[in-house]
Amino acid sequence: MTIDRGSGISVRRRLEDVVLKGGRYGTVLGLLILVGVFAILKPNVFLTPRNLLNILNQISLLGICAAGLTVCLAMNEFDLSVGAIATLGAVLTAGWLPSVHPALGVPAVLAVCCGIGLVNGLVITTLRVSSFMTTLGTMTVLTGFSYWYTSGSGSILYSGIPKAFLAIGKGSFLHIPYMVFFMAGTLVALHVLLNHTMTGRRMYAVGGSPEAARFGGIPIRRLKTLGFVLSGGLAGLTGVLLVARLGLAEPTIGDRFLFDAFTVAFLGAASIRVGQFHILGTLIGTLIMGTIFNGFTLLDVPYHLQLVVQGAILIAAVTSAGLWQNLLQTVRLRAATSRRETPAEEGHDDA
Amino acid sequence: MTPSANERTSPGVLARLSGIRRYGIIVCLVLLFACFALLRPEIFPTLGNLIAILKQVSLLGILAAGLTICLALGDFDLSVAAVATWSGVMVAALLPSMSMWLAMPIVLAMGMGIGLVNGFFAAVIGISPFIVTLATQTMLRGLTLWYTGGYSLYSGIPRAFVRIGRGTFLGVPYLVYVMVLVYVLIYIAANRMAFGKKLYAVGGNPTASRFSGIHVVRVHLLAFVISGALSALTGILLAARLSSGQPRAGEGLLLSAFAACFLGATTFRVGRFNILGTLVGVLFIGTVNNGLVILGVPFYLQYVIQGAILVLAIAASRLARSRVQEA
Amino acid sequence: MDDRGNAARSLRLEMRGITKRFPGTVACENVDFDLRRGEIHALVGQNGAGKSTLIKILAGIHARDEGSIHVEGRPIEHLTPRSAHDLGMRFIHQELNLVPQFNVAENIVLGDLYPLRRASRFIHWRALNRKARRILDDLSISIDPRRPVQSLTVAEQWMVAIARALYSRGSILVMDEPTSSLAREDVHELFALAQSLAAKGTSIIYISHRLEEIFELAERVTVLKDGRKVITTDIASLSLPQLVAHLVGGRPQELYPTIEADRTLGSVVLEVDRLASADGRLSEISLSLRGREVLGVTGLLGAGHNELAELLFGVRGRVGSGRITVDGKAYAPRNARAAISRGMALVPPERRSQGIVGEMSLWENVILAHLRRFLVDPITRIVSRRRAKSTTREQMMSLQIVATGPDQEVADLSGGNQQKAVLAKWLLREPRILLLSEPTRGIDVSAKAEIYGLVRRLADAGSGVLFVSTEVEELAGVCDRVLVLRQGRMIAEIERSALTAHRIMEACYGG
Repeated sequence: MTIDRGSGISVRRRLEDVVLKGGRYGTVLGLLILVGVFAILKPNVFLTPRNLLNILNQISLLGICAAGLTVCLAMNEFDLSVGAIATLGAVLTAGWLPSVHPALGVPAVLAVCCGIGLVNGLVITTLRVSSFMTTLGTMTVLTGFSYWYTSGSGSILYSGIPKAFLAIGKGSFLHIPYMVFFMAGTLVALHVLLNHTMTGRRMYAVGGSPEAARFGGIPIRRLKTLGFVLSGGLAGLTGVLLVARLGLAEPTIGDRFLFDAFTVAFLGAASIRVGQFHILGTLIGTLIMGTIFNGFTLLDVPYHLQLVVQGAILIAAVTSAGLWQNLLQTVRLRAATSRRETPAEEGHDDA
Repeated sequence: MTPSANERTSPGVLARLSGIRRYGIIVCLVLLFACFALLRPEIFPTLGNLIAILKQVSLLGILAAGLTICLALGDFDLSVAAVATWSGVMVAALLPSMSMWLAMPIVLAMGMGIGLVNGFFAAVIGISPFIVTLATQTMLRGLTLWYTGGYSLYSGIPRAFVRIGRGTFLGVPYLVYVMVLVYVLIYIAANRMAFGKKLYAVGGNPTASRFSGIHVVRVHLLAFVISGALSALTGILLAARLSSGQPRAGEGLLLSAFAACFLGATTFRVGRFNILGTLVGVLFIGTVNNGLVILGVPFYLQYVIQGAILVLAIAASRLARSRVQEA
Repeated sequence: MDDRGNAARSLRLEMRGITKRFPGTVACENVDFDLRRGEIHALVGQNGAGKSTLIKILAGIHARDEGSIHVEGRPIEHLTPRSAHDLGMRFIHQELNLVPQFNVAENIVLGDLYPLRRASRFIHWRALNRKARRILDDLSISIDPRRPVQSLTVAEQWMVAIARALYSRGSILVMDEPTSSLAREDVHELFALAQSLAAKGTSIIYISHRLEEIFELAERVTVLKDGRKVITTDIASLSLPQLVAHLVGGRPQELYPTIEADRTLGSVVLEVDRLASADGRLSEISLSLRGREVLGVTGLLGAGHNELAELLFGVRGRVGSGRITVDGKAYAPRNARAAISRGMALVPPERRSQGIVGEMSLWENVILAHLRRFLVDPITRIVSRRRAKSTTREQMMSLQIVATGPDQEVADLSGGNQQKAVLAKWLLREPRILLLSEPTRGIDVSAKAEIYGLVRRLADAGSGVLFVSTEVEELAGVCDRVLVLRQGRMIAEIERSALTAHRIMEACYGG
């Protein structure tokens, strides 16, 4: 399927060059098109600062969750438990905050979620069970736990949550919601981690070539476990903030994060650094999702159609990214075999 | 970019001959069975209950069988449950206006068509099946919700159709016969037919298979079509059993199907997805569920125990294997 | 080479009495191996002789059952990949193990500490590039450290791997089959690099099947056979036939089959007329291959000979211009299936990744290209195991494939037997044209001899064989004629009467 495609015709070459440079930005282009379309369809509503901030606000939680997942994916590990951990975080927050001060309660919840991530990481790295199965198991266990924990109160916890805490979910600073700050902070921190710290670069090494990492003496187990701890902790944070925003918690509250986070992360891997999971790409993916959600809501398009569009965009994005990668491979293959065509050969236009 | 379907290190010849390693899950299954039998000797080990277990897992089993074929190629088909749900809704939508012998094949064909689409993007265009089926299942969920408006479709379902889902023959539900038939057919296809050789060849080494003249793309397409067909069949039978098309019907099935397949890959042909192993995995899950229900364990605790047993069972079989490895 | 044969020179590594048992077999038995400072010490042995086990023990992947290991005089009890790394051991394998997403600089520093900025503790990228640049300059390698590693040639990637070993202050470098995928001129560059490293004090363990290279590069050689050490001696005191004798035991073996002069050839099975590939890597290739003929094709890196076989088989590249006829009828390479239907067969260069399906059994691999023949009936399309296995047994006897039976997993076979399995697979189809691309790469000596014999037998049975290889010695020994390519064009054709390894080499360089 990746048969070396030759190219002797120069028009085709020029086209290839354009696609090459542009292919990486396919999803960004898609995002801009979406924004443009919605701006035209809802002229005075969509492009207002208020609405744009609204979009950011709506996606902030997904962004946090997906960022943590991105770290795991960068190491080729799948964390299927993010949704369940988010639920757990929400449920525990709603359960503890009525009686424990948030300054104590929230860190406690986060610690528990990090602990779950730790368990995931340890089982995967020491017992060598695949991440798919382990996190599947964790997810099942946690779902059961969340159901049990909320069963006493008719499955919804909402009473007794301190107003100050809820204010975080609804409040803003300089018109920018706190949630957005949380997301921005998380994204920046993780971006710096993955790109400018040794730990992060080693994580990419683990993902890029596990054998190279092993022979290079890189502590693979530690890094993978750290990845799961981050993923779990951020999923937990997502849950905490869910309660701050919605004022309640129930056992299916985190469900949609599972598929959405994966969708967004994969959209990210089709952007800019094609083939690699990275924070910037995840951000773009999240923005795309948020734009669709927001625009469709403004247009009164029902949720189920959004789902259809979401799926279609995912396929389109990844298809073009895949085709782009093939192209890139072809060009690289050509370059790597030390046969360079002289500029004179490019002369004739065969169009 | 897909998760590793093959987790094992190459075991030496002797390790493979050692029975315990290969049949670890079966041992677990037997042990579990014994546990439950001891705890509830008057209910659990009865014939009626055993048949009930089979009935409970029959639909999961059919779904997992199709999934096994895809997983043998390393293709993760995340859309199986969504296809099942959609098929259940579709068959319920068609039944009021046509004979069920027309409605069922149409829905089956739909399922195969979806499989074809999955396969096209995965094998012809070359996108990771994980993403393709993730997208497909999202779209299907949307379509299902759109079509049903969130409601169940239960009018105009003929009695004959419901009888398929609920009837019995010689005391054994029709569903179980269907499951057995499906497993026999899939077993033959995967282990005895030329298709099976091609399947495992492509799953093991696509390049070598291609160089040997195997039409790799066609194998992938066929696998997805089979998965789609069996998912559709599951959905149809689900609708028959529920006597309605429900938009949330297939939800728990996705992860259980994967669990069953992964459990199955730890037995018989270690490290490879195989149909007999999946059957064992399905029975395992069914036994656990059934036992917990009989013990009166509240449903949320069931989740907890299921998840824990899943991970423990796989971990145990890996530990048992790694003791003898070193190749 | 300077005289460095000073036995009193300090021992960097000393392994004594190493024994390692696996269930049912003893991989290493009482093996001694030592390594001096600044020495290039070759380690040779057939597959299964214990080389890779010994190295894995050194790498901390296996634990030895008996024996002692001393590094710089200090006894080492417990070895793990981490501690081996800390002790200065660096392993470079065939697969190279570079991170494809990283550039050269990051690959060089892999596993070591990145230079960090003082305040923020973030990575100091410019300092990193500078350090990488320095190492590359030290080794006279002119590669820009910012280039993505994916864009490098294989030879350049090997350089980067060596640079990495040096950067991380490796003192013991284990190079495992470095030249299998390199062409002649790169091999010389690599050797120069290795020798300059040794001159600076790095010790190198050089593992290779290419015996001629060992004479060129190494100081001492250790031969392993059946898990035991046969001999450790200075290269200078050994001749090639003697070395081969140690390897296979008994009297020096004739590697190459005798080819009778004045054989009658069959009709033309393959005719290529001014073939050029679409990407320009091959041009003006014209050849004609007759039945019962073994035609060799070779060249230096970039000469295009590697692509020719795969181009003809339709699995790589596209034809730009020119004509190909098979058995007199026009043929356009499209894909493997089309090629096979015209009676062609390809034994690809990468056995493990292109030739065999490791997880499947021998019989399943053998029938893989001709499933139709083994169907019980065409309607049910069920495979007849009985027929498949009995045919496989026949092949096992005929090709002398060593395995416990047709059911054995092919991944468990030695390289030579795996290659024979690939040949067996194609033999079932009785191909008119057999395309061999580096058929003896990574295979031990005695299996090579068997394969050479097989190739000649195949030719005698009527097939035309195209033998693409970079090992000039085997080309001279096995082929009837040899075509030499250079930069995609044919520059020489050497007939049987003038066919020597030396002549082929000359022609490769344009002489």
